[in-house]
Amino acid sequence: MASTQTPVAAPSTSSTPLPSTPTITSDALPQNRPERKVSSLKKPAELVTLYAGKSNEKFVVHKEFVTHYSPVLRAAFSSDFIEGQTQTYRLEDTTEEAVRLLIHWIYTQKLDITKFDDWKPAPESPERFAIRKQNDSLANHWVLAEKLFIHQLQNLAIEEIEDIRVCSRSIPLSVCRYVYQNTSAKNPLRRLLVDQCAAYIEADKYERIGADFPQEMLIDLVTVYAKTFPIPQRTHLRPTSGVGLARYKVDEP
Amino acid sequence: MISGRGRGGGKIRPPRRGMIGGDASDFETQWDILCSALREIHTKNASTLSFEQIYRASYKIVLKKQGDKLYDRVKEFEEQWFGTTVMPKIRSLITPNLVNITLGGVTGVTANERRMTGEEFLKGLKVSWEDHITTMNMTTDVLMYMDRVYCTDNRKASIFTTSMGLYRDHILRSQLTGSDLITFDILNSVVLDMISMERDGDVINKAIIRSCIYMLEGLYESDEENESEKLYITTFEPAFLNASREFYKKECATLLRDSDASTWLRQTKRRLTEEETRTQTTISMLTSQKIAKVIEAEMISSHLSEFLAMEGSGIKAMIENDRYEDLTLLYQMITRVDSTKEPLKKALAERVVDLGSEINKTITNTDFSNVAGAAEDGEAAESADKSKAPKQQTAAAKQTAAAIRWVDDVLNLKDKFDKMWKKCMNEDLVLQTALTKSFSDFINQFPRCSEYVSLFIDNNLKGGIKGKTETEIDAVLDKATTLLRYIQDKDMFERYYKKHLARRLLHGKSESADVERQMISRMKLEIGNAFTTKLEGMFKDMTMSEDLTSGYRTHIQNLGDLDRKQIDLGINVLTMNYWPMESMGGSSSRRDDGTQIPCTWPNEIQLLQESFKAFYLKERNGRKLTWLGFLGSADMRCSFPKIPGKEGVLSRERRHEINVPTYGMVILLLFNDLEVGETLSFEEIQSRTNIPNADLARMLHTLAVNPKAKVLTKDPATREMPKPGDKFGFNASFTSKAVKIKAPVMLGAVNRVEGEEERKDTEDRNDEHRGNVIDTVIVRIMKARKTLAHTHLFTEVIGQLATRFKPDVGMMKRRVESLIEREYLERVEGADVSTYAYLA
Repeated sequence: MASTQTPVAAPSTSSTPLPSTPTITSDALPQNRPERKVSSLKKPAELVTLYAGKSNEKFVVHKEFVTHYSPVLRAAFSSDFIEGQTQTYRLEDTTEEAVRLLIHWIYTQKLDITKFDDWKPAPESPERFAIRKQNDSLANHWVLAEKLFIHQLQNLAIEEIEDIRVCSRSIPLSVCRYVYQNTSAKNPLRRLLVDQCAAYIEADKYERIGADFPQEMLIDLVTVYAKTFPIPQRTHLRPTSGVGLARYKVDEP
Repeated sequence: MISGRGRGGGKIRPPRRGMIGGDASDFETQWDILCSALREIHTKNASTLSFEQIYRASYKIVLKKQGDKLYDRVKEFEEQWFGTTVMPKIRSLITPNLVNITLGGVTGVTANERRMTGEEFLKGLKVSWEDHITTMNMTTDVLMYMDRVYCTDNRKASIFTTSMGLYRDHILRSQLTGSDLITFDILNSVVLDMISMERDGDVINKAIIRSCIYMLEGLYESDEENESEKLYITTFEPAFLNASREFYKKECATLLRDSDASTWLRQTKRRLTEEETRTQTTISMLTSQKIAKVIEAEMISSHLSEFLAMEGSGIKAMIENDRYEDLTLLYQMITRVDSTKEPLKKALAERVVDLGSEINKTITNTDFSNVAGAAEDGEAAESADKSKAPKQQTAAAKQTAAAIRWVDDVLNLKDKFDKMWKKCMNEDLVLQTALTKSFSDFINQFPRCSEYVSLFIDNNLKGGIKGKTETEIDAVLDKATTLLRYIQDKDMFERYYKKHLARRLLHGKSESADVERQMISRMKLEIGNAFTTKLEGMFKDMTMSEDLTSGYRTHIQNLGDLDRKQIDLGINVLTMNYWPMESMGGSSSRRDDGTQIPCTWPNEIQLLQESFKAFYLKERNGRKLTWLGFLGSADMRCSFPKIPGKEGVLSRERRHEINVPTYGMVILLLFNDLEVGETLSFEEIQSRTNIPNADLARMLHTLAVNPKAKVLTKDPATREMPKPGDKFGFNASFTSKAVKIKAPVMLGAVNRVEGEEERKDTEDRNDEHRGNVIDTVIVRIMKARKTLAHTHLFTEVIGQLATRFKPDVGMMKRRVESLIEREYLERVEGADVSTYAYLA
């Protein structure tokens, strides 16, 4: 996303005023979480219901809170559409777990996930599995927040993902495909994954699992490497350098 | 979805088919959802739609990098919607009549019909606009992800903005079938037509116009939405201003032809208010100042001078008849168009000078008749007309009354304009300056202004203030001060004021010393210290004299010297410099070198004088006392013997106390030593008293001709003025009903208007004084500057003297010549411009 403020059309005769857009800068990950004014509870009786996917689990929350953080939900609940009439919103393509985390965050401004100590679990161990689950959940979360324009939550998720990588000393490869399927090009989560890979993955690993990477991600990776080594720095890669073309030639009988 | 994925640690799941990259069929599936949703939204059926579904569809499209495609499709959809649904409705409202009006054709349709069709059209347009806004707000909501991600990333205008542009292009700028007109032309024409109806007094539907104007304020020339490019500003406003200009040009011309200035003012005011209201209720506040400017230009500025000059209702009539309302409006109007208020300033100044000159003329005419009458009286004095004295008195009094009237008239005029200035002109400072200047101009045009103003003050201080409250007195003093402010020749005024004050003080005519002092402190503020020092000195003399008198009395009593003939002395010691001797009656007893001709005092008086002098000089060594016979008075006890053989009062001895001027006392004392029946000739009296002939003749007239105190006989016993050769004796048969008699004084004690000769004399003296003052100032300036060009010198002299008087250039030139002769200055040879140098 660009760093400019999203323009808002605000016609003077608009019957339903448009929600104001939160200003965010998403290019640079903020070191300090932005001090966002927490929604005040002026209408404690106004509740809305959220559903996750096809689940029938009802999440009843204060309308003020959700609309404060999400312009999308604000628009939906104040619209003439079904959601506006029923004050119910079914979040398709997400899980109960993600919605639960979302609502927890909305009320507490914290991410309700297990913190890992500094260890390196063995491959295929239960800890490994837990870490993977955590990463999946965070990625899912980020995508949901992106869809609902809750930028604070997105940034929080990014921090957690990097935090897990540091603690577990492993790249969250399991979320790559999901992320590439559910996000647009150049978005921050994609860039985080690409940079993590570019910085930490050894060449032999690429040989082993390279085929599993989403095609777009591979392109992004190559681009990162190519940018890191501009052409003048690649003289040693030139076919004529060193032993020259000899290495490309087959033995002649 | 993550949950369903394989559990390969550090692995990436193999790709699902058809998930990566834009898929054409996938897009069409989502677009179908969106398109039908948009249609529902446009037909106001949104309540059956799921926000989430539409949002998700657009989200997915954008995610798949097909935002551009979506954006274009939405645009297409809108264009199509305008073309197929909105525009046909609007077109159906544009009747041939509307088109004709727009083209300026005459329709023969009544205003009412025009208004009806116009309103229908505006209503239709308004509805289409409001629908569009509602629709686009909803569209913006469901396409939020596209707006915020796709549009922002690609620097495209939001779909809302774009759709506004579409509305502008496809509705307002849509060309009408069969003509070059676009919807916008019709809109402008209908709105302007309605406004013109309202200006003609019809009632129109303001709200509907306002709605359409709102629309124009929300639309821009381009998608950049530049504030200065609102369609309202670029298209409607110029048309509105032009139409208004035409309208008001015509209206003003009609008013000029058919109405008076008062109607014009009111109509203009009404139009200004109307248009201001119109910008608030019908069109936009953005136009408020611009339309005001149009009215100002067309209704006020263009024919201002013509309206001002209107006979019977123009500014002259307004001022004459105190038409405050008109004047207030006029002031407001002129202030709007011209911050210098030049036209009003000029008109006011002219009126002040005109009215002022009229006052001057009236008084001058009255003056001439009176002066002429007085002169005749003087000549006729020889004929011993019995009614002469009272008549002369009346003439003088009349003249004084005329002077007072002049002042009153001026003050009334001033009041009139002050009131007008306060009431109508918001106490405008520019105008005040102009008014002050005009007043000053005409007052100074009147040569006797200084004298008259001083007389006015004199009149008030002599009794005019009797019985008045402090506030009233203050008001009188205020008025006097105001007038004083206008007078240019302050030195002349000072001269007169001193003269009048001297008489008031010496003859005890002043009503209140307190008020006198107040007046002086006012003058001090207004003109400055130098002016009032001498006046204050005069007051000091008077108080000192009172002390002296009582001190001397005590001194005499302490001497125990009671056998002396008991002359009670009340003394006034006047400091020479402070008092205007020449105008107090001393001129005739003055030698050419300026010293007094002393009169020969009788013995008993001389003794008294010596005694006082000794007393006075005891504490004030080195002073010189000169006794002024022409001032002061004496109470004399006279006894008249019974006349043998007469009946009535004459058969008894009669005692009278007669108050006579000092000279009178000197003369009468001569007769004490005479035998019965003995007489003194005029010459004898003169030589024994040394009283100047003129004074003597006047005094003898009082004592020997005027029946009131006729204690002397005159031979020949005519009523003529005593002259050399006449003989005088004691009038033993004098009778009077009163015991105390005051000998009537012919001249000198009463302040009145100067005669021509007297006046000439005053002016000459003043000019002489001015010459000296100018000399002093020139020398002072040159001493400081050493050399100075002619013009600079003169400017500076005029500047320095401005508070006192306006020096005459001729006089200044003469003074410079004289200074060169006396070798104070010299001309600088060979200078480009005439230059002088100071000679040390």
